[in-house]
Amino acid sequence: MDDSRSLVTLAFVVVYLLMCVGVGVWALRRTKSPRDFFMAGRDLGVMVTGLALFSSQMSGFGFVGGPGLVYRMGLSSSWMTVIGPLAFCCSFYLLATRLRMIAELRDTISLPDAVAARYRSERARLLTAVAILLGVLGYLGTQILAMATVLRDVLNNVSFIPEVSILTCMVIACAVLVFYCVTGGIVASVYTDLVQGAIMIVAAVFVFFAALSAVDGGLTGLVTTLVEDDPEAVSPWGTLGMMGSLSWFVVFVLGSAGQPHVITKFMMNRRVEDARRTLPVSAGGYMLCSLLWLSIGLAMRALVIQGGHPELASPDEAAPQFLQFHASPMLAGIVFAGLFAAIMSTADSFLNLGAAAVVHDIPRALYGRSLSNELFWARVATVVLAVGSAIFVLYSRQDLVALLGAFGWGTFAAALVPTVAIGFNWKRATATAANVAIVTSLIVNFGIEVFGLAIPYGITGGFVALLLSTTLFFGISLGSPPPTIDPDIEAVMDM
Amino acid sequence: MKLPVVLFGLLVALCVVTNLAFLIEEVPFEDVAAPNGGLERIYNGHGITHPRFPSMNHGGDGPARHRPMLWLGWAFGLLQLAIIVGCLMLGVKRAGPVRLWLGGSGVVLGGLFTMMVVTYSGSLADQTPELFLSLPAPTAWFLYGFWPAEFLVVVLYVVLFSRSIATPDDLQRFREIVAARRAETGQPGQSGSA
Repeated sequence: MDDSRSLVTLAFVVVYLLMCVGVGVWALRRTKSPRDFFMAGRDLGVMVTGLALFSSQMSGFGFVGGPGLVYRMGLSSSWMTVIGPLAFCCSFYLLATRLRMIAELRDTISLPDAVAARYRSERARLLTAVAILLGVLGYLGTQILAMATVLRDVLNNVSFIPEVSILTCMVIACAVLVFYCVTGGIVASVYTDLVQGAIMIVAAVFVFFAALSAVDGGLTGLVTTLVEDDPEAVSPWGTLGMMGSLSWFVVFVLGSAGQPHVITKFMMNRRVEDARRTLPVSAGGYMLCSLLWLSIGLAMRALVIQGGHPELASPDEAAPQFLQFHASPMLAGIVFAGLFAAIMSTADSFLNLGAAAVVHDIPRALYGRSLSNELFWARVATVVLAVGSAIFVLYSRQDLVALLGAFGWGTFAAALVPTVAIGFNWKRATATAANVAIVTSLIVNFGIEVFGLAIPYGITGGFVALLLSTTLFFGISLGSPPPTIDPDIEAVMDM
Repeated sequence: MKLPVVLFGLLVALCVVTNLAFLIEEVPFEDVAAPNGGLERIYNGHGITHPRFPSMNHGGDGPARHRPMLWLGWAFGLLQLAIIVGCLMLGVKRAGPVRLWLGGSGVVLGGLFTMMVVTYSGSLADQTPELFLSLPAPTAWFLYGFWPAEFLVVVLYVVLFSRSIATPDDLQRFREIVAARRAETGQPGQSGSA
C-alpha cells in the first residue's frame, strides 16, 4: 500500500478510536447505577436503538468473514444476510414489546432476570446466564483478535512506523474498548454503536458501487465471469448446495431472536411503542450493510478468476485486499473505520452481557442476591473479562478459539430461541422445557464441534441443535400441566 | 387447532425431512484410498475445492448433486419458512388482520421461494443460463424478489402496530399493571414508562 493511502486509513482509524474514548468520557456522567450500566437507564431513542441493534448483529464477521464466505462459496452465505429483514422481524414480533414491558414491570437489568421472572425459576436464570457467559467468552475472544489483526495491518502498512506486534495491537484495541465500556457501560456502548452503525451504512453503500466498477463489465461482466467458471456459485445455493445453505435460513432468521447482545437492547427503549419505528431502521440498515458482504466477495472472486487480482492466501483476505487495491484511499479509510466499528460494536455488547452474568445473574441464581456495590464490580468484571479473553485468545490453541467462536451464534440460537423467543409468547411453556432446551443446546453444539461430527449435505450443526432444542421445548411443554405464571407477567403475555 | 400445536407439528415434519437427508445418500461421491489401506467415501455434493484456485470452492456438477433431491430441498425450505411465519404469528396475540396479513406474506415468500426452485430446476439443463437484470433467473428471484418481499413483514409491523401489536388499550392496561406492582412492592417510579 502506498504511504498516502496508508496514512489516510490510519487517520480514519485514529479519529474513530478517539471518538470512542470521547463517548466513554461523556457516558461516564450518565452512568450512576447498575440500571444505567446494564440497561442505559431504559432511555434510548428510536435511532440509537435501531442502529445499535443492527450494528451489534452485523459484527466483524459481517465485514470480514461474510465477504470471505462469498469469495469461497459464492452465494451460499446469502442465506445468512439476505434474510436479515425477516430476522429482525422475528426479534421484533416476538420480543420487542414483551421484553420491554417485563423489563419495566420487574425492573430487570439482564435477560436472565427476565427469564427468572417469566418461569419463576432460579435454575432457568442460572442456565441462561451460563449459556450467555460461554457464548460471550468465545465471541469476545474472536472479536478482540479480529480488532488486533486489523489494527496491525493498518499500522504495519505505514512505512515510518516500526513493525508492531499482535500483542501491542491487542493492548491498544483492548485499552480503548475497556475504557469506554468501563466508564460508560452500555450507555457508551449504544452511543458508539450509533456512530458505528452510521459509518457501516455509509461504507457499505460506497463499497457496493466501488465493487461493481472494479470488475470489467460491471454487474453483468461480474456475473458472466462467475457463471462461465461455475454456474452453481451464483445460484441461490452457492457452492455449498441447497440443503447446506438452506440450513442457515432458520438458524439466522429465528436464531436472531436468541442473540442476547441484540434482544437485550429491546429492554432499553424509552417507550414500548418506540419498537414500531425502530424495526425499519434496523432492518434497512442491515440490508444496506449486506450489500458490502455480497459485493466484495463476488467482486474478488470474479477478479481472481479474470486474472485481475492474484489468488488470495485466505478467503478472509477478500475485504482487506479489495480495499487495499481496488478502493480509493478515502473509501478504504472509511471502511477500515467501519470494520473497527463493526467489531467493537459487538465486542462492547458482549462485555456488558458477560459482566451482567458474572456480577448479577449467577450470584443471584446461586445465593439469592447479586453482589453488593454492583456498579463497581460490574466495572471490575468488564476489565477482567476483556483482559481474560485477550489472554485466552493469545495463548490458547487457535482451533479452540475458532471452536468457541463458531459455538456462539448456534448456542445462543438453540438455547434462547425456545426459552426466550417462544417462551415469552406462549403461556404453556414450562421451566423444565426451557432448562432442557438450554442443556440440549450446549451438549449438541459442543458435541458437534468437539467430535467434529460431519452432517450430510453440509447442514450446519447449529441447525440440528436449534431444531432439536425447539422441538423438545414444544414437546415437553405440551406434555406437561400448564405452569403457574405470576399474574403481572401473565397480563403482559396476554397483550 | 392452536398455533403452538401447529408449530410443533411443523417442527416434527422438519425433523422428518432432516432425517431423510441422513438416510438418502448424498451424491455425487467418490471412493478414494484411505491411509489405512481401505476405501474412504468422499461426498462432493456440498462443494469441492476449485480446480484452479484452492482458496475457493466449486459447486461441481449441479444436475448431479441437486436433481435427485430438489424436492427434499424445496420441502426443507418451505417448512422452515412456515415455522418462521408461525413464530411471527405467535408474537401477535390477537387473531385478526396482522395474522391474516402475515399468512399472506408467508404465501408470497413461499411462492417466490418456489419460483427460485422451479427456475433453478429449469436452469440445470442449461449450460449458459440467460440473465435477467444481470442475474441468473433463480438468483434474480432471490435477490430481486425474495429480499425486498421480506419488507412486507416489516411494513405490516409498522402499519398495524397500534391496531394489533400494542394497542392504546394495551398500553393503558400496562400502565395500570406497573402502577399496581409499584404500589404492592414499594418500588419508586421510573422514567421511560409506556
